[in-house]
Amino acid sequence: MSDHKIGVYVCHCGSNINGVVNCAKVTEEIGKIGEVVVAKDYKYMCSDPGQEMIKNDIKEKGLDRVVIAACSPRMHEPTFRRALEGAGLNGYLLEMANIREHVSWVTKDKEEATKKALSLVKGAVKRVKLHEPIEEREVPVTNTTLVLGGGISGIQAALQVAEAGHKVYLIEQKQYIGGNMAKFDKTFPTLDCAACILTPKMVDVGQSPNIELYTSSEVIKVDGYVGNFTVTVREKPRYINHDKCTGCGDCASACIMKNRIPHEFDEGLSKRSAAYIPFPQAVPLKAVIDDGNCLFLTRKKCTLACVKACGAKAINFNQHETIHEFKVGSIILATGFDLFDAKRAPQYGYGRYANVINGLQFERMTNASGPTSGHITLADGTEPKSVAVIHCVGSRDENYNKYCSRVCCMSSVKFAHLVKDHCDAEVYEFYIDMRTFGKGYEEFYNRVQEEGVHFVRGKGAEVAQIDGRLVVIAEDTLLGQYREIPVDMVILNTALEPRVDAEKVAQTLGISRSGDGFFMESHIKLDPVTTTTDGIYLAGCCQSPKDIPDSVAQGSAAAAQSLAIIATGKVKISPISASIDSEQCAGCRICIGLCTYRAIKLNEETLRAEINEAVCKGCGTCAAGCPSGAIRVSHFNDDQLLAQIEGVLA
Amino acid sequence: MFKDFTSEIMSYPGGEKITACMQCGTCTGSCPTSHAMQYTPRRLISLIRANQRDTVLQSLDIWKCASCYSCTTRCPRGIKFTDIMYILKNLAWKEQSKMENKNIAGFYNAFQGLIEKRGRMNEAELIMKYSFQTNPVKLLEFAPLGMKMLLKGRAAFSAPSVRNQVQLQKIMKLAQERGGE
Amino acid sequence: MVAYQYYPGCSLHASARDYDESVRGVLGHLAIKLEEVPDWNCCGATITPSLNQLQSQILPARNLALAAENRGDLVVPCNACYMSLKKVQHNMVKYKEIREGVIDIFSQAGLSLTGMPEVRHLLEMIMEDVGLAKVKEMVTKPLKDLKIVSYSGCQLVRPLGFDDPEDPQALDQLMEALGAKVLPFSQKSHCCGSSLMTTQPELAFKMVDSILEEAKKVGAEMVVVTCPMCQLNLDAYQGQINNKFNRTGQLPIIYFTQLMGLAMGLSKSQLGIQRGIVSSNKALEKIV
Repeated sequence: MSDHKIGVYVCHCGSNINGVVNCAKVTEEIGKIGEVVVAKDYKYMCSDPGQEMIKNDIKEKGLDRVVIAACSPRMHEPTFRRALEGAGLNGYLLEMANIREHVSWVTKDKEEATKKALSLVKGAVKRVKLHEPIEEREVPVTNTTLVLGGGISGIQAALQVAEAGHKVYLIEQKQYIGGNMAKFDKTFPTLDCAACILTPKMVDVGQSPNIELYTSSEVIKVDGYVGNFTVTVREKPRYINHDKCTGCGDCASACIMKNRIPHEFDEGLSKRSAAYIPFPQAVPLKAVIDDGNCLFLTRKKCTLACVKACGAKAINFNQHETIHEFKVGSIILATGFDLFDAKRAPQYGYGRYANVINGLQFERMTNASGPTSGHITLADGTEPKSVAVIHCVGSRDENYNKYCSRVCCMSSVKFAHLVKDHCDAEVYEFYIDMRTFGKGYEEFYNRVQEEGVHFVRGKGAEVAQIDGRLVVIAEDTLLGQYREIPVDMVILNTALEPRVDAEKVAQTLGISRSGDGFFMESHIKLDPVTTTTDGIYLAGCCQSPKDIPDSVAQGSAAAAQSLAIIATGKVKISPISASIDSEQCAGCRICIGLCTYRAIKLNEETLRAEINEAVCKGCGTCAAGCPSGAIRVSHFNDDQLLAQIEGVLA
Repeated sequence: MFKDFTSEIMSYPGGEKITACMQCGTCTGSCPTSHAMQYTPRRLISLIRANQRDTVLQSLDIWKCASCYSCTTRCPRGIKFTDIMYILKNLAWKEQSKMENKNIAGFYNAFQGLIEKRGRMNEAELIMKYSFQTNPVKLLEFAPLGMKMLLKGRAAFSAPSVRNQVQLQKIMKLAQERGGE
Repeated sequence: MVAYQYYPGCSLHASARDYDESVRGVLGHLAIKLEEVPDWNCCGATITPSLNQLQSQILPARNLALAAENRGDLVVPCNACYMSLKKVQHNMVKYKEIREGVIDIFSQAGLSLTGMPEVRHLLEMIMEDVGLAKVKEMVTKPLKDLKIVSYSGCQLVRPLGFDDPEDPQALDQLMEALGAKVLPFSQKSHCCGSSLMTTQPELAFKMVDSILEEAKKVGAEMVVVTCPMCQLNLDAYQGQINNKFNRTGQLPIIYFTQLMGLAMGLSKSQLGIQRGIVSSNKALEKIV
């Protein structure tokens, strides 16, 4: 017999647990075990009185181990660890038995539930005896932040950290910042012009002394851990000397590829040169040379008209890529979304019929600085007399993306308003459900209804061309009738999707993605900004589809997280980590491939694996995979686990 | 035996996902015959879920499905509506008194009769049998086309059959006896 | 010689003899051996599944059982047969009750399902096993200037088909390989109405009319098909449909194998080309 004094506390969690598990019986049975000197059940163990009860027992009865049978340790393990520490006991001398998620929530069978709860608690009692006190470690942090992605949420995050007086590295893959919002014309629900509200922020980024902006750049490597990341960034050559370029655009006018390359910023609705200014308000307002289309760069054959035209002598074809290395305390990911390619749903005729366009193309069309100078026009240059907007193309659809893209109902209603405003055509909205849930949104929907837009409740099933005219085929479900509605233009409001390089980015940063492909947050409700990797935060559409207000809010939230780390000056590191017995390690490197957090490296001199405990999350994958049994995970060692299993099976 | 019509449909292969319908009407909009239906595919799902079994099974709309599977491939909720149409037709067929359209009943009877007996089909024979079962005047309507097909060598008047008729008839009968589930 | 098992289906022995003739002609020319599944039976098409689900599994399953006794993939020229056979295969894997029901009934009739052959549409086999390169190599009389639309129909591509269900590509590619000019055609995988042509002609007439009118509008000289049911509905009923909707102009409906044969230098009669109700002589003038 050991001489431990164990206290066992069984939580009712209101009726969450006690409604299924007979908590009193579990308490009574577990109290019969010799070393269990206290066994109590209580309505809410996590409440103040519950915690006080545990603290008092520790002090008065001299408990040296505590078992709490309650909810998932994910929720309240930190709470109870603090309670133990408040009574002078090391927080790791605690073991929780999850009798809610693992028992009461997954069955209605009261008898079996009570049996299972008891065996889980028995396992916890056996295990807790082998727990050892562990001390948490703290490491100092670097007070800089890296923001990846220069769309609206990345801009918001960067500005906020910079305004608080801290250094920010803002990395953008494109040659300019502003993201998708920079392409919009008006924004719902208030219809302010996107440029009017975004441009000042873009200019602030360009002028802030605390923001170092790297466009045409991407993160290629991330090492380290919260508070102490080392990020490697590759900056692609722009073939333009930024210090000299004035953004005058003379190179663009001179380029012999002028008006020959589909312009990405205009979603292919206009043509540009190989040397060009992305758009008039671009930050930085510098020329770009497109290395995929520049005749000199691709074939070394060109008259170099751009070089001759450039008065500032800013063009430099000898530029090479530059590799930068930044030390940062935290990373904010704001990489945005990709628009669903409507060609994947051929029934809508995108790419086949000239007047079937997507939402971003419509945005460009209505934008005063866009390809049609703000006029809504058909391919033949005339104004449409009727326009259809089809919602949910690629969203809410098992064939493509199951989720709702959240922004399309409102942007569709905005499109309808803009059509009415610009050319007074008839507008037909084909929708499944109208989801106008934000502040001022329902009111906006109401306003557009009153403008005389036709709302047809039914998903557009097909776009056909009959007698030279586009026809949207759908069921008007409120009428219960099959309808063919002829229109001049169709706008497909397509889904927001995870970026095509999301997996690569996730691997580079060592973070997870959820089932829908977006980056995964730590907790969908209570921690939507943090990833499962400490010190890496999410903002905007890279986490899930969002409108501008939500993207901005999350950008600010991510900045606050980052600033919190800087303000503390140090971070706590979970003490649960793996360690390698170098005597037993055979240097086979299996563990290195298994570690998702890239915490293990081979020591090139000793040829033995070594674990960076600050990076290690203590997940145990390496320990399970090590063929020579050389890896041990603190707080999850073999003896502890075997004892737990014994207890459960007893 | 079933709590309601929905659970009855769900008990058959292909009917499982009917409760997932969000009434978007993609099925109807994709259906080449829904323009002629009193109850569109989406409405049939609604009627099933509203437990209106007789209305659904008595409706001729279920016999308008051409089995093109457009609704099935496009359904955003993965509902196999073509299969559900088959389930509905099976149930309606079992309760034959409800089949009012003689053309449909006659054609299906003629086809199935030939298959159950000989295991192979001959269009000329099928048309003759169908006409006699419904209205022999139909033969006159089919005659011009029949003549053309004959002249082009595309009509066979022999009665094709599988060699092992006993086996074929036995398995078809056994399947019939199991109630067609 | 590469050998396949061949399931012609009922039509190819009667109203679609021309399809059968051209299949045998072309594959013979390509040195591909077809062995007809011994004692095959009707697949049940869309009729049996409407009346009795278990019978509609039994019929195709018997063919699979018979084919399983021999080697080689099962090649099917008819869209409806192809889909029926594929679907029962799919069901046997997915639904335990169907699998056990079929096996049990078979055991009482001395049939056993020892395995299931791979079911492939003839077009699928030609695209994947023969390949476009080989096809191009065999072409001696390219179908130059022949303007066609390719009409795959529905059950070739839905719900278990091998090509895109909305915008199938295989038939286009094959026709281009023969040298034909393939026109854009939005009706590619729309439905011809199948058996509704007999029971509810008013529905099927409209469906066929949309297909033919679109084909005429884009300037097609022929409609190329992969299914005897589509051919019959588009070809044999074309006159009646034209009358009903007051349409002018006639469009020959031709099997893809017939055009393959022509491009490879086989004779018209060898390919059953004279059997079309709408004559294709005029459209083919420039080739042969």
